[in-house]
Amino acid sequence: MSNFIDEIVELNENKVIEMLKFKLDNNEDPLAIMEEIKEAMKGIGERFEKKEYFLPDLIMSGEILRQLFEMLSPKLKETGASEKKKGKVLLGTVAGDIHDIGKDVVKFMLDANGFDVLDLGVDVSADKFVDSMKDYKPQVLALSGFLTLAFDSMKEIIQKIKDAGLRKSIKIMIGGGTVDERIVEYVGADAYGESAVDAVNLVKEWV
Amino acid sequence: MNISKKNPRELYKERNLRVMDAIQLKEPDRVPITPLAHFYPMIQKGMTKQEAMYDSAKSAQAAIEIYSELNVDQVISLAQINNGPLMDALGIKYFKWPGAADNEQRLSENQPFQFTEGEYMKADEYEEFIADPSGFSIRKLIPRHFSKLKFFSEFPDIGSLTDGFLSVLTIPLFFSSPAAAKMIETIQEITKTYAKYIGDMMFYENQLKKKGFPLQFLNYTQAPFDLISDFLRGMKGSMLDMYRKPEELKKLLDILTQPAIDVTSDIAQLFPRYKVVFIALHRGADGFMSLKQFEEFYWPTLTKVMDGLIERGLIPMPHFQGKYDDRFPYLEEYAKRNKGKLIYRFGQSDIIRAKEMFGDYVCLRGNVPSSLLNVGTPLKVEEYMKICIEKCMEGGGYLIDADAGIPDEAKPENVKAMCDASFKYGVYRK
Repeated sequence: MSNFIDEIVELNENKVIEMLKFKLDNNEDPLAIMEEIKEAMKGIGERFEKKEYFLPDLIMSGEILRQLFEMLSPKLKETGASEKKKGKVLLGTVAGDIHDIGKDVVKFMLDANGFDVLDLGVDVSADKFVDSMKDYKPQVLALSGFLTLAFDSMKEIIQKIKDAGLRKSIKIMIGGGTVDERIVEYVGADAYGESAVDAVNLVKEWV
Repeated sequence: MNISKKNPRELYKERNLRVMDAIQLKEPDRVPITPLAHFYPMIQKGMTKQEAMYDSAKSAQAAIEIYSELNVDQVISLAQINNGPLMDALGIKYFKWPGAADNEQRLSENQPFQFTEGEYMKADEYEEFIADPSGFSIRKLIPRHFSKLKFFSEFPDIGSLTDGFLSVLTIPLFFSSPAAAKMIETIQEITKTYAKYIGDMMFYENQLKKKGFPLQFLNYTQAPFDLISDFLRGMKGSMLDMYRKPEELKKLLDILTQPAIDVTSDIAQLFPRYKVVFIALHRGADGFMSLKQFEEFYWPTLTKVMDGLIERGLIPMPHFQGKYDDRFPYLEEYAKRNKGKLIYRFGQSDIIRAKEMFGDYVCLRGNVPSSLLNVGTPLKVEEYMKICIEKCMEGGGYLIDADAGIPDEAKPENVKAMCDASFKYGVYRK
């Protein structure tokens, strides 16, 4: 039988699901299976970093993983185990902008790299970011925006974070659309990323 | 800037010629200024985006004033900001916009219109679409795209209309239904709104012409993959289909290629003065798909569409949104085969490298960063423009434009600096 991890990384949907069924039917340890899936997610992330995988491949892997988790989660719940994450990232597309492609890829890559991510969705107000920071206590805030109006939304969000006295406790990265170094300075962020790989590297550096 | 004492008619001709020379890789007298834009002029005049989309006459006034002050060579059409009343009349589902009548589609007054992803054709409907594209489009797609055109779903099966004995009954039956009565009312509303909008667009075009300013283009098409991704399967669906249904996906790409050429040619005949066809590319960028996927699913049908437009004497202008630097060898090869017959419009790609690689074969446009125009200074803009113009102007083939067009929030002094740079650094001959 071929390797479960490799088949996931290769995105062989039907084969992978068949293999998981077999494993569950044979009462394999769900925690061990989960470890294999996590290993595979790392492999998918690595291929994305090496520019071998792109959006179609990430979307396909998302579909496969969703199905695997659905099959596995009842068994996992029985074990009562919970996993330890590397750090917390608060993520969202800023006020005025409803684009989510870039944000979703960043979320996927951070998940794959073992970070805990809270995604606030799109068109997120400054107040919502500030409130969520207080509750969730992330180490990193990731602001996404495709439209040029996002520059001013990002600036306002970061200003409100400063006003709430929370700026020193958090690293802020921005990305999406035409965001570049000039915008980092304009909005008062710490860095920007051109891709989801940049986002992961920034979080690894900061956390 | 006082440029000449020529009359508007002469200026109109001169400006068009300047752009056409650049496209055909001949050196004009000066680098042409042809910025794309959306709400910039209306915002400069204190309008909200909602007002801009709902009052096309007022938007036209604002745009005429701002673009003529900037002394651009060709002005962008009003179609760039869409029209709220027409979108309401149709009940468009794939956009959200400020002030939409439908709660579900409505954004606040200062948000621009934004595309929303949707799965308008399900994965298991490929077979049905491929077997009968017209029937599927009328009976399924139109009702899903436009909430006000739901009754199209009742339209008699296209295949059944070949039977004259039967259609003599089915056609009157369809038009006798209460749904059809409602349809006639709705269509009257749509055509009334459309006539008003077209009237304002013509006013805009004529007023500009009187001042000596031509428009850039009035014609649009899309890469077939983007048609599927935007209007049929959604991005997620179209990309999953690369894995799950690659053969069906390719078949559908082929089916959509010729109609994209034909409809664009039809529109071109309505506006024979305008040759440029704008093709905004959405899913083919670096980072979106691999080179292999680009080569397999994106580039072949896009180039077929462009071939078809060129054959009909039109000038395709693909807008390479985002970055396309990894695809430059493909762009180079296509440009070499079609020297002086199209425009490559760039977002964040390296336009100077593009000039070096294939600038001898194709006119380049775009690339001035939004960030520079929004948060930079006139001096910084001028420095950037000086380098860009000097590196790109040789041999013609360069048009000044920003990466995503003039941003809505751009500082006017920066936009002016971008345009003025042509007079300062872009002069080929006095």
